Amino acid sequence: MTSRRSTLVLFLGLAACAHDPAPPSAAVSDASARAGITVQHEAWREAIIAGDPARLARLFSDDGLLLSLNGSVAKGRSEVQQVLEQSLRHAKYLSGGFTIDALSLQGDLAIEVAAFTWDRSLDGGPPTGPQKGHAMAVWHRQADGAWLIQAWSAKYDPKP
Amino acid sequence: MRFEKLLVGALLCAGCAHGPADVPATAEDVAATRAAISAQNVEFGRAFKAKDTAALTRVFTEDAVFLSPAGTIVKGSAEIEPHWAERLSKITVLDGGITTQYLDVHGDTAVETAKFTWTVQRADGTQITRTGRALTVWRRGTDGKWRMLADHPEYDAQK
Repeated sequence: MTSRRSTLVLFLGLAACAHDPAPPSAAVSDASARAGITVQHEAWREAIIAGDPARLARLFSDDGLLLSLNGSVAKGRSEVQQVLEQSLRHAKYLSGGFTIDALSLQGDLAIEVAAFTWDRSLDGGPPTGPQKGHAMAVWHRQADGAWLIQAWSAKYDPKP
Repeated sequence: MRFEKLLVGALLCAGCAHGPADVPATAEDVAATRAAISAQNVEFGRAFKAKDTAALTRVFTEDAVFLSPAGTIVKGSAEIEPHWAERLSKITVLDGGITTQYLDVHGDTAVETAKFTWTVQRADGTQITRTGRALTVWRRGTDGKWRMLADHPEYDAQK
């Protein structure tokens, strides 16, 4: 009886200290990080073409940072959304997307250099045609395995 | 017997506790990291003004990636030092520096946003002061020193 009770205590103790399904500290492969980040690139593409700043802001972590094209820095999802709202008032994104140029994994963080191309209409004008640029992104892997943006800095490349 | 099972359980639970990387950084950790990174930013500025490309390169990790304002991707020490040598063959940095704005510390990695101002003299003798901001990811090495793992500076638009 004593032995059964102590076995039960042991079992309950182990169950109580079990981790969540996808602990942040679990090792993550380069391939799975690339796949997860590519999913978020596609979510960004869909949201920006839809002109939806709230969806874009949800790609950032709660305390995410956005270095915007005008030089300001927004911290936190609410500030990030405000900056994106302002930006999308002037630009309608027509087509484009991202590709990963470089990726470095540091535990639950992934540092990415991405290339992007966007065709936009600025202030109701005609399409700009494809414009290329680069972004540096720091992605933070969440407990559910999703990658959210911890920091984002992007700029269109200078015209040749 | 009962004691042994409880001991095994306690040891197993201790083994599945989160490691140091998952523990939120304390205020003291953040302050120490901020001070160490500020010191490295000062060293960057000193080396930039002195055209000391070897010292500039030592502020970066050997596998660092630098995304220049021109959109050029420079990877690793072997590319970073020639990049600075080429850049500094065209300008002389007279004054300026880097100021940390935000710093998020995640174990041995820190994400910084910073503002910078550089006054430079071009080859034709003209001087210009430019401001900008940078997104920099720092990594703490086994020697305890913080170095840039990734850096993306951007100049503000000229008025």
